[in-house]
Amino acid sequence: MKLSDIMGAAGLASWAEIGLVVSFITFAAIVLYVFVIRSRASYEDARHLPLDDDPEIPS
Amino acid sequence: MNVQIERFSYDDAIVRRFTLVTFVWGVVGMLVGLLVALQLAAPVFNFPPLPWLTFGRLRPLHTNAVIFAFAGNAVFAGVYYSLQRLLKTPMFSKTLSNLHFWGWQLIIVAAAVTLPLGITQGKEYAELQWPIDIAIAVVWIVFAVNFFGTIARRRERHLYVAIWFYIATIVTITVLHVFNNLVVPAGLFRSYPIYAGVQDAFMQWWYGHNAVGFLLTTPFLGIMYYFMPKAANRPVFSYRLSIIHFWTLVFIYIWAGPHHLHYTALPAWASTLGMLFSVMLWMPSWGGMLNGLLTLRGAWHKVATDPVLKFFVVAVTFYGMSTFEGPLLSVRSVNLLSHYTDWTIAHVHSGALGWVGFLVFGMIYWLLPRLYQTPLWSPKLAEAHFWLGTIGILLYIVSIYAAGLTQGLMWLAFDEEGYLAYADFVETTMRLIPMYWVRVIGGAAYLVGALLLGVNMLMTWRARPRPLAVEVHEAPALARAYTDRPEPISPLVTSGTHVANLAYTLDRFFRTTWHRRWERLPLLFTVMVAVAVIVASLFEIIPTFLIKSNVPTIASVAPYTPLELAGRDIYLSEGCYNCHSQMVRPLRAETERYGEYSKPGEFVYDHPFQWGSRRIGPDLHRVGGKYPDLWHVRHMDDPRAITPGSIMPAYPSLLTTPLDLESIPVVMRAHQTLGVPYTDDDIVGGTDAALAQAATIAEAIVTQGGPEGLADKKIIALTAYLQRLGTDITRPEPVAAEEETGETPADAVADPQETSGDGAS
Repeated sequence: MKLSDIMGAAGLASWAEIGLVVSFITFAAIVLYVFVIRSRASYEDARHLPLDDDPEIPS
Repeated sequence: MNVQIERFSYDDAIVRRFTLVTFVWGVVGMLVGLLVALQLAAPVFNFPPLPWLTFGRLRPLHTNAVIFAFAGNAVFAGVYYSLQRLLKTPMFSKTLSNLHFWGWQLIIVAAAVTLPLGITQGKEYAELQWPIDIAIAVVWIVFAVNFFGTIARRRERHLYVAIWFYIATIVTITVLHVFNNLVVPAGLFRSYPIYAGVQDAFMQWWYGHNAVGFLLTTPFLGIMYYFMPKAANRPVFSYRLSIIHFWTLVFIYIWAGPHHLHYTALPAWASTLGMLFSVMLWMPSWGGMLNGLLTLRGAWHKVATDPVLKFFVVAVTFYGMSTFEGPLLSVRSVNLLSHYTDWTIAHVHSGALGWVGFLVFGMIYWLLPRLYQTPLWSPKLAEAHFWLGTIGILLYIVSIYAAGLTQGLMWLAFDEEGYLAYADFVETTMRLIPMYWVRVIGGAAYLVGALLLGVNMLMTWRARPRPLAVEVHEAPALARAYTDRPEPISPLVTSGTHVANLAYTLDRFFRTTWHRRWERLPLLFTVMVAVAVIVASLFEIIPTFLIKSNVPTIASVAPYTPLELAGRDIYLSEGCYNCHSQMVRPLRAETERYGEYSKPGEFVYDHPFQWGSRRIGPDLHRVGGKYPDLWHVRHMDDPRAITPGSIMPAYPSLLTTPLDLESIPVVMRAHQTLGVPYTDDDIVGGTDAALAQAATIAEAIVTQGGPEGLADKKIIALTAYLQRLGTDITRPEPVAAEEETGETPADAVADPQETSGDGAS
């Protein structure tokens, strides 16, 4: 018996649909976390990271 | 606590080098692009009889040069500059940086030599042969070690969002490159993918689509998130949106690949899934675009005067446009019209010229004064570059959108009597020529703009102070132990109400201090990205590979003869797939034009698949037996003598170059390893069998009034292959087939028979 026979009999046709649902739940959870649960203030430091390094260009 | 202040300098020499080669390879890639654009407008630019300048060989050179050389080096320049500064540390190892730089340039040179020579794997954007693929993997690992080593030595705890995008790039490209390039070599310059037909197509577009996603999108988004705030001198509009942008993109993108295969022999569930996820991509993409544009709020007046911001604004706008259009094209009914036409080419170029190109140019103009410690030589010239480039893009895409729509509508059109309105394919080609000339003008304008960048680079470099100052920075070392900021006190505690313990736990969970920790842990973060990418890929790939009913086998489909196999190698090597598909879609307009639609079971011996993605010329899947052998000989020798108006390159050298007979057993052995049922006797007698078949075909050509002495020439093998294409389903089934049903072969597909010739799994 080949691996493909076993997998073919395993009824994995709904595999992708499960994936879709799992992905959607993950997506919803991330949105919920970022926008509802965590406060705006916690992002302020991170936002300014690129700006607190270099000297200005010579002119 | 005693805080140790450390002093350090950034390595900008490596950034200067990557910036320079970005420009150099960019010009090379665009120049080749201009040449292939000319070849489509006027086939004389294929310069027959030189075989190495034909469209089929140069088009892969163009795509590889602009993707891996221009965009690739630009990514490295951007990463090396921003990573050091975001982490307040120099790169992990200068040696690794240099190895990375020189290794990558050597790979590009190897590509530039092998592709015109016709050394190719025959898969779009994955043409480079296996020794180069291994070199790519090694250099990529060098880059990854250097990158993660730098993260390990950082002096800034938090990884800024740009770095997340870089991590996603490194992880995903590794996975894609390895799995799409699993091949069995047959010598140094030849190899065959372990996948065949449907599976190979599936892997290829999983790779092809995600290469766009993770080499031309995520790293450039990282660059956008760093350089755009720098140029505008204000923080990114919404850090929250950038997190959503990141995770949704990483998670969703990986699924979208099969939308490249609508109406093909790929099972419909797979392409539908690809379509659904593509439509979902609208959200993160537009979130990211708006985040970029809104970063400029309050700074819009600067856009009028600053060429850097001009480039960035147009780049991000094109990102929005192409990520709107991509999902649109993935919708099955739109794809029906757009697939195989120039519409796709216009879409790709609005992304490549607009988004990638302009973002790179903006970044380089921003970097030049900082890398050479002197003001930009001429902002006016940069301004001129911007306008030339913008006009160039518009000329290119408007004309090619028009060409795509024209082509698509003409292919599908029927007249009042129900016949194809444009039955002769070349009619649809000739209609496009004026638009192809407009593209040449647009492309030339874009290239001239890029050359102006070169002038500015040279002059800015010349004005640099000598020696360049090495700036010393200071930052405290990252403490080994890190104490989080105190958690905000829960209202549950302060209010004095009495609640169950579970409520405290839940409250703490939703306050997600744990997640803030997690953002500072690069290893865990990287693992999460890898899991997201790999899990999503497996969800899609496993069913295609293992569920048997996906590829019904067809009893009469047999392996290629040795001569046909040699002919197929010539087909691959000449890059015929760049212009011809081998996939008749189940649409009346196509079955009328080409013949019976293609079945998944017909491709089980195709290593690699050759379905193609574009029809500059007609589909070839049912070309077998359509014309006499002599027709193919004459057509290859001079296409316009047979089909006036054809834009196919002439291949007179195929009629004079001897066929490589020695490699036939080697190639057959490689195919045997891959599961193609050649016996050892078949392989031993391979060369003789090829010679015998070649003699028969050569004789037929002479009988039909053609030239003599072709029996040992390449043209004979190619003719044998073309005459075989798509004929298996009309052949009688082998006698050994156990069930004798009297079905037509087409019925046999609907009710597949189990045969031993299952090379698909």
